[in-house]
Amino acid sequence: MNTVVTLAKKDIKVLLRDKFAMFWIVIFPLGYAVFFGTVFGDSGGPRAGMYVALVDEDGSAYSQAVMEQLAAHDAVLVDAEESGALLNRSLDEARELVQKGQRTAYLRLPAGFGENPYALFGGASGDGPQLELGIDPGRQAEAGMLQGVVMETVFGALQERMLDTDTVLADLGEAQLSLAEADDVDPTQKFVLTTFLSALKGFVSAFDMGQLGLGTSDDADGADATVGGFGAPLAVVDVTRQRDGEPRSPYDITMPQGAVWGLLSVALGFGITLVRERSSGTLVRLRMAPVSHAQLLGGKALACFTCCVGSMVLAILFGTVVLGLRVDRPDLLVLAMFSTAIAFTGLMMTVSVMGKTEAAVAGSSWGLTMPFAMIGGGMIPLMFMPEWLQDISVVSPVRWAIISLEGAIWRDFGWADMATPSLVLIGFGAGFFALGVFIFRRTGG
Amino acid sequence: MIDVTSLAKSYGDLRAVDDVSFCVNRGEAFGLLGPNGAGKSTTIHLLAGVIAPDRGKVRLDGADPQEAIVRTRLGVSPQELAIYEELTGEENLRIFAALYGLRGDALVERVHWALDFAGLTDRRKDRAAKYSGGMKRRLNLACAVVHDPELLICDEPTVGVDPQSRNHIFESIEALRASGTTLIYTTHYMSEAQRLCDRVAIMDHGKLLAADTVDALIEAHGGSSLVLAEFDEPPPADAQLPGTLDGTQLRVDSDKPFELAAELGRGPHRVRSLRVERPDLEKVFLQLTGRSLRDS
Ligand SMILES: Nc1ncnc2c1ncn2[C@@H]1O[C@H](COP(=O)(O)OP(=O)(O)O)[C@@H](O)[C@H]1O
Ligand SMILES: [Mg+2]
Repeated sequence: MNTVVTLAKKDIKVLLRDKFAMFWIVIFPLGYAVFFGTVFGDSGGPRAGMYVALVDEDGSAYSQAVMEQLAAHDAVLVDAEESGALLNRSLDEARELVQKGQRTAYLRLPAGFGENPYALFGGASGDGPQLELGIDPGRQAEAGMLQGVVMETVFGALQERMLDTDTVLADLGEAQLSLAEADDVDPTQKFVLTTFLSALKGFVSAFDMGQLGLGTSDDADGADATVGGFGAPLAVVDVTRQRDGEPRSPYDITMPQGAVWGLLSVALGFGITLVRERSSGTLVRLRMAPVSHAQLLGGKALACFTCCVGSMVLAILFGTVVLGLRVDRPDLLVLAMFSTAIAFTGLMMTVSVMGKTEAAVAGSSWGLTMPFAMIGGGMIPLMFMPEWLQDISVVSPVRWAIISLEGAIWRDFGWADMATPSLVLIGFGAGFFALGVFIFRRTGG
Repeated sequence: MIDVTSLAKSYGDLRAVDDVSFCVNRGEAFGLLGPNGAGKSTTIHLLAGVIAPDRGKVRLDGADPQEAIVRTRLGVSPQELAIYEELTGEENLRIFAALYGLRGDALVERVHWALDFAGLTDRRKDRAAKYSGGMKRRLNLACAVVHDPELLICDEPTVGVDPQSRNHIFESIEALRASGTTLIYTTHYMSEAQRLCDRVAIMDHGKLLAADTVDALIEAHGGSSLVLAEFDEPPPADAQLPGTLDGTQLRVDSDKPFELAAELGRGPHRVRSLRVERPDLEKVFLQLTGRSLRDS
């Protein structure tokens, strides 16, 4: 066992020093996932805009103004009726859409929202009606952005309202009235506020607010900063997305694809080093040491297996940290990575006997692995393939590797669903390995 | 220590090793001398258990080196460089030390020793790819001795090496010899065999033609010595001289070269120079094969 580990460590070290191989194993797969993920993403993915369902329970002119401001925002998409009017949904309907992932979030404007627009300013929280944003807790980036956008639009609508002097005067009168009626306010404070409101009222009637420079400013940053300052008038409600086995982002598709390219590079890389060892004499030298045939191949296999797992872990880590990939079933992912690594380790063994020289192996092995990659969904995602091609793809280990990785990441697989791809992959691995060893021995190791 | 009996290995029709038998005693230095293609490397591969013989057997103290564990006692420096160029000299040595079962402090100590042995201590952190040809050869040899083997097998360790490295290699092998390591050494340079080996086997076309001490080989197969004389003036045609005369040059084969030389010196013709050539392994090879070692 020590011998096998020593040999495996040696092989991994040699591979890590091969810059060319490392490019194909590390950089290329990540680049592939990012590049194609971004290309897909620009056509209708979440990056194109946040799709918001509107729930207007208030029905006031003010709530209408807020929704129109939101609809006009660049980063937001909302539904409109054929007439062009904004589509108003029930809360249940909107929540379901978000759960299904068909809308990024819903915005609820509760009844009474328009009656008290200044509740945003420091009214005891929970007191006045609040806006409600329903979104999946996993979508943190989008949630943050949406909060900013909503606050921005609310202030935008409020500004518009304040430009209308009559409305402001009415509002101030209302405020005075409610202040006079309130009996839970300290008399001194009441006096100060009443005086202030009277003064303000006189001030507003003497000037035209429009001349004060309160034009429409679209300063998103300012709006964002305001959110914290006014006692969180916007409530964020968790609406957990249902796991329905649909890809959540294009990276759900391109990341497993990229990972499989990395695996092919690992298999080819080790296959070629085995041939190099044969032709350079180090293989014979190892056999002169107390190393058996089985240990030699065991070392190669262990090294290849380790690097397969390593490259997958790297890809998935990169995906989760940088691309926002989420793994639904980490336990199934372990099984998927294990069986995938076995399949590609077997492939390595077959690749290594596909020629006598490095160049011959490099050439003929691409001839074997490229069709595997092409029909197995390494280039065109499986779901976009015509059905007959999907049927053919069962002969490609690439297909099963992608399915098992996707199964654990987003396909909503259970243990039973994972059994088939895992067994097929392990079978592929065993078959390829046996074939490789058979030829290896025949041609005199 | 090593017993080789009726060893044979063919590649297709080619008999690379053909009925070879010899034995090597503990502490002895045994040379395999022969031209390229004689079958030396094939014999080494059979000794090291890398390939299986068609017939015959190899025994190391009674055990078969085709069993991995037996090979722990061997150190082999193959003719082809067999080091990992992507790795440093030190890493190469560590791998081979570990493969031969060294661990921990013992491994570190032996790796240091081997780096010193190869004169690579200063360059130990450099990748082998950056080494000169001679340094790679030295590393190749160091990898064979890092585990302190009882028996060291060197297959043409000085081929294609600059004179300085060649000397270094030669001296380090002599040092190992002095410390009691048994040695099997193949070469097509007879001078190396003559200088280093207690006994030498002459090999050609897969066959072992003779095996003995250098002196005994020369005694048995070297034939007579050669006496070369050059006269001041060409002797007359009727002069009573042995051998063949060519102008002022005389060549004589003789079993008693020094007596003949003395006689020529006393003779009637004035001798300008006189040379005696004792037979060497080259002559032995010529005698045994009808070909010169250098030409083949
Ligand atoms: N693997 C092999 N396949 C076919 N022929 C071989 C092989 N190895 C050696 N030979 C042949 O066997 C003969 C002896 O080779 P070798 O043992 O390398 O000679 P040496 O080491 O004395 O130069 C040569 O003619 C060589 O071409
Ligand atoms: Mg040779």
